[in-house]
Amino acid sequence: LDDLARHRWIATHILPLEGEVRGWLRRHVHSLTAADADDLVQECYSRLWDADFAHIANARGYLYATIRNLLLEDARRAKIVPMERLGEIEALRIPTDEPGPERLVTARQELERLVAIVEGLPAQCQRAFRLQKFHGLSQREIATEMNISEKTVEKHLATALLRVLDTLARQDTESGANPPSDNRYDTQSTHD
Amino acid sequence: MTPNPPTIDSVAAEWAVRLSADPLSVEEQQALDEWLNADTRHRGALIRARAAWVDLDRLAALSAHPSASAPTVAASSALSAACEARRLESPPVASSSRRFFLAAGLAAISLTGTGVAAWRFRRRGDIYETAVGEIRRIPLSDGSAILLDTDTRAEVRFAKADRTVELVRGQGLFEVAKDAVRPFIVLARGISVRAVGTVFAVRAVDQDVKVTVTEGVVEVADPGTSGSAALERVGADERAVVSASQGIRVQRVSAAQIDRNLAWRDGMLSFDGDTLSDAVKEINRHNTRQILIDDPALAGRPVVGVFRATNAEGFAETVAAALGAESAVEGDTLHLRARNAR
Repeated sequence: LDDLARHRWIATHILPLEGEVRGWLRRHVHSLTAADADDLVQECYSRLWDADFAHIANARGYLYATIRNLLLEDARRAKIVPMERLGEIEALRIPTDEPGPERLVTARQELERLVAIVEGLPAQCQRAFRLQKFHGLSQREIATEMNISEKTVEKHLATALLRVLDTLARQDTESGANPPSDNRYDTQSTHD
Repeated sequence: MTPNPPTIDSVAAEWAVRLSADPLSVEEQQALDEWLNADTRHRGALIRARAAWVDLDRLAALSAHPSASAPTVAASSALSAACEARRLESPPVASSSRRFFLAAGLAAISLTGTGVAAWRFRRRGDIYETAVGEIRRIPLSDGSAILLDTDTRAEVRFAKADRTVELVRGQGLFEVAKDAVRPFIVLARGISVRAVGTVFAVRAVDQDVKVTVTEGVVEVADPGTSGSAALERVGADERAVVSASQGIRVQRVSAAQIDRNLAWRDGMLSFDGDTLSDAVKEINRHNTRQILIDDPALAGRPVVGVFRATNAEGFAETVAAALGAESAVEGDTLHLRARNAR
């Protein structure tokens, strides 16, 4: 896999789970501050990048296992959690779930959220972003089209991306209220 | 006030955008390397930002084909609202959208219990069997349903007085439609599990028979080898383990544990600290390609993770990586062994 394909793999398999993982961390590892969670998530992407994607059968399980391992490593170094929490981490429950309909609904919401972000961008920034991501123009073409420098185009695009990154980190406020595996039974139950 | 200092994410975003355009100049490459080396968090932040940037290409794909089955960006919220509304009403007729289909499937599942059993087939002694690696859902004539796990055989006998399913071997999840006059009875190795309207799983794989209840109450009866019959009520979030030596033991189980134990219904197997030998045993039940643990020292190591039940190779590779072991293919079997010292 080349770098683009690897970034796509991460975008498809991991990014949509980031909010959920952050929510899970917040609920289960209370000693973790928001900044710790950021560090942990960043470390996790770094770790994932080194994995052989072809052999990851279940990205979700792999992601949680990676997070859990990082927590354990940090706990051993007493960096994030005191030693007595080690056992607690060992016992941490990893949600087991396949992308069921709930998850797909979330994917749709995620798309809507992206659109909302774009619509909330400052006018110039939004225009540059739309020209690139909706119409496929290069940065140079956008610069000509908008009569601004390429550097400015780059700044606008980076602003847009930063908004997206912030939203990724914050999206757990909605979807993370319940572990996804807890709801599943309700939809399948046969009692009346 | 001074402007906010750049955050890791804002710098990562700039580099992600820059990297998506022309190749970097020598100076730029140098600056990027410096930034990456300055802090271990920077690398992950950049990977995340680049993945998110690539992901935004989907917007172009969606807006480029407004007439295709994919929703256009502008119309997406209206469309999803419509999907949502239809999902609640009734299963849609046909749709090219897979997502839609899945949602509809769930709606249909939740309907089976609510009295769609107008369908009056009386089946007698029907045998259902799954192959290794197969998981099948069997809707029954009364509105109940059985989900059969891998390598499972069940015989369904419905009569006027009761509904009996004999679990000859394997594992099944029973979703029982309420019928106060006709109890639903599952027989497994002489043990009977009696329910009126509940959801529970019966496992007749190991020596013990295990009954896990997720909803309602069942009665587990063990005629006993010595003739002394035992009877226990087992409620939601409880499990009965019935063994020849100890009779019926009822334990409380957490929702998490139930989810893990029933992950097979989604074609997954979930382990959370189970020993490698137990995990391999379970994976092997689902696969014709068997895994062998060559190294006894590995057998007791704990395994954590969720795996696709039918992917023995993926399991072996992942576990090997996690335990610092190696997996090797030899003919039809997969071997797990300690990695050779370099």
